[in-house]
Amino acid sequence: MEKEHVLTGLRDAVSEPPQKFIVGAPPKEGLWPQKEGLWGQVISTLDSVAHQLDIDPGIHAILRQPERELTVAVPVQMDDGTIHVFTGYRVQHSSARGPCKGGIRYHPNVDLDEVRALAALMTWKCAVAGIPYGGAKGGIQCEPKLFSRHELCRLTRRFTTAILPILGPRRDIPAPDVNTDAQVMAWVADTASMFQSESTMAIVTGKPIPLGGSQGRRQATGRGVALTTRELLHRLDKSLSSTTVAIQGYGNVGSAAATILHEMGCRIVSVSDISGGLIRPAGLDIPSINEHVAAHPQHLLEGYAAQDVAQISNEELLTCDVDVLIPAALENQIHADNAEQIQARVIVEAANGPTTSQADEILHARGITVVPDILANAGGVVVSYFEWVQDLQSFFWEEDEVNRNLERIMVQSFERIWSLSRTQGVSMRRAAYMYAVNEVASAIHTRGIFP
Amino acid sequence: MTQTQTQTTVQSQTRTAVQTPSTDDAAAHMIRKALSSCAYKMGSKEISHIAIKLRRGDSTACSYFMYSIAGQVAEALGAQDDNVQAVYLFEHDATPQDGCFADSSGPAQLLHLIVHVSCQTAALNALIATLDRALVQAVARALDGPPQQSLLDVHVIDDTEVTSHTGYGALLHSLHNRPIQVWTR
Repeated sequence: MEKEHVLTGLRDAVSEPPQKFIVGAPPKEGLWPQKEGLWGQVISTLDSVAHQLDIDPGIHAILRQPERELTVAVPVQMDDGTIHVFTGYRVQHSSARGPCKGGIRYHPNVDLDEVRALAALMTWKCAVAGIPYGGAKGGIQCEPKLFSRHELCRLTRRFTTAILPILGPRRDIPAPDVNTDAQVMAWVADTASMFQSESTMAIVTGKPIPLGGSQGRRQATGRGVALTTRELLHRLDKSLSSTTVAIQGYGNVGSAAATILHEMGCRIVSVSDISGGLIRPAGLDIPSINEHVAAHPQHLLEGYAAQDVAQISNEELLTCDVDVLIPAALENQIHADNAEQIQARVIVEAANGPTTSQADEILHARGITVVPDILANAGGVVVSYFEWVQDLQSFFWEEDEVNRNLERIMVQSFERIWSLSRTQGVSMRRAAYMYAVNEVASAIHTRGIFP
Repeated sequence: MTQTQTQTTVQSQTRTAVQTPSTDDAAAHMIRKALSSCAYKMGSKEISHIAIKLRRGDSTACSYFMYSIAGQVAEALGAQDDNVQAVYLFEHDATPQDGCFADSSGPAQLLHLIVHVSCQTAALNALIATLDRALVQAVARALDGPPQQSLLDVHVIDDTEVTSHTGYGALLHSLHNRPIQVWTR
């Protein structure tokens, strides 16, 4: 039963009877407690991978629980003098491979279940990328757009103070996430620096460049997607110049991937954004499209016209006849209803979670190779790692050096997951989780259990 | 009253609202209120300073401005169409951890809204289109700039899409970047 579920990826539901679980007892296959919600989905995937890898039950039990969860009350005096108390979280899933790494989000729906799940996903993502971090996530349950800038600053500084005992460049390094940005990271770094009476810029990444941010961060995720695509085509003996690509989403990630793949020699035949899509079987003029988007007041493809360029809808783009499909827009865009119509030979997931678990099964059965988000869009966290390295050294790299090191790490990561996928006869998504869980489990095993 | 009759009544009520000459006034009022809200949150006493920031594409000012418009648009849709159950604001962003590194879109970003309705109607679509046109003109006047093609990117979804996790209904169950509810009945 377990083995049949192993190909379905993160969001599959492993149906296990609810069982009483005694915390700390060595678990046995089939005797796991059923967990609900997003955390339950993450645990289901972990359980199925751990059973397949025959991970030591004790280490498996360690991975089933976050290392540390901190829930804090964040009182903030609002501009009108009233006091509001918000709830904040920081969850460190694992520090077995290094300091914890993960974003801080401000959102009304943030809760412990979501933060736990995202922290564990960061553990796997850092392991897949081969960077020396564990996984964490944090957040405050609030609607940040209702705050003034001063209130937001006070909220951030108070939250930072509350979680500061577990943060640090060698402990846990936050980054921007939903509704947080470089300014919020600057406030976090400044607050930590004030408490420690020294400059502690390496305590966060995603900072503005003058405060120790890294060159190359803006294009990092898109560049990683392009490099991953190039490596996959190489393994499939497909030349870049004979490859056709369609990209759904032309924001920061999609446009960077399109530009770099175009420079590599690929034929980008279709791109789309919220305003609709463009298609030209002979290949689109990406530099000209980039100029149009830069000049458009809303940075959209809307209004672009050139010879032989036709309009296409976002839905049509997903099913057009190309070699490579790159979903770089929203979650759950490839689902059970359109997975059968997809004609691309490979899919490279630039967005987070663009493929539903049902669609994943259909695509796998049809022999379509899917490079999972956990690998394909890891370029961002890799350059965050470079930012941390540069901050610790107080020595900053040129963009060329950032890009060169990003390429080295993405190529190595791809090779590891590709090889595992081939040797084990599993999907790349499955291979990525197998690799990640094994890496973290090995680190725990090698370090041993303290004391 | 049959469902068809109910729908017709709602449509005619909505059409009346759409055809009311005050749509432009309502849009202008929304923009004034959004400017004031933005100025308050930015700690500025001068609306004119905020207009300058918006014209320059200051990302903080733009996000406050657009959020205020989103709330008011949601409230207007809910008030004028009984089918509207809830309105959500979402980021059209592949990876939230990359959002803040993107180029600022300036004062005329698109407002990405999901409108959850009990029943899809042509009248609601007409109302949205009318409101969008009026808002585009009102923003252009307030910021003394050329009118944009559009301000609203609205996706109307029903219960089926929400429960089956399809279309934009799937986004309400998102793990990575869940839409924010800005209005509910």
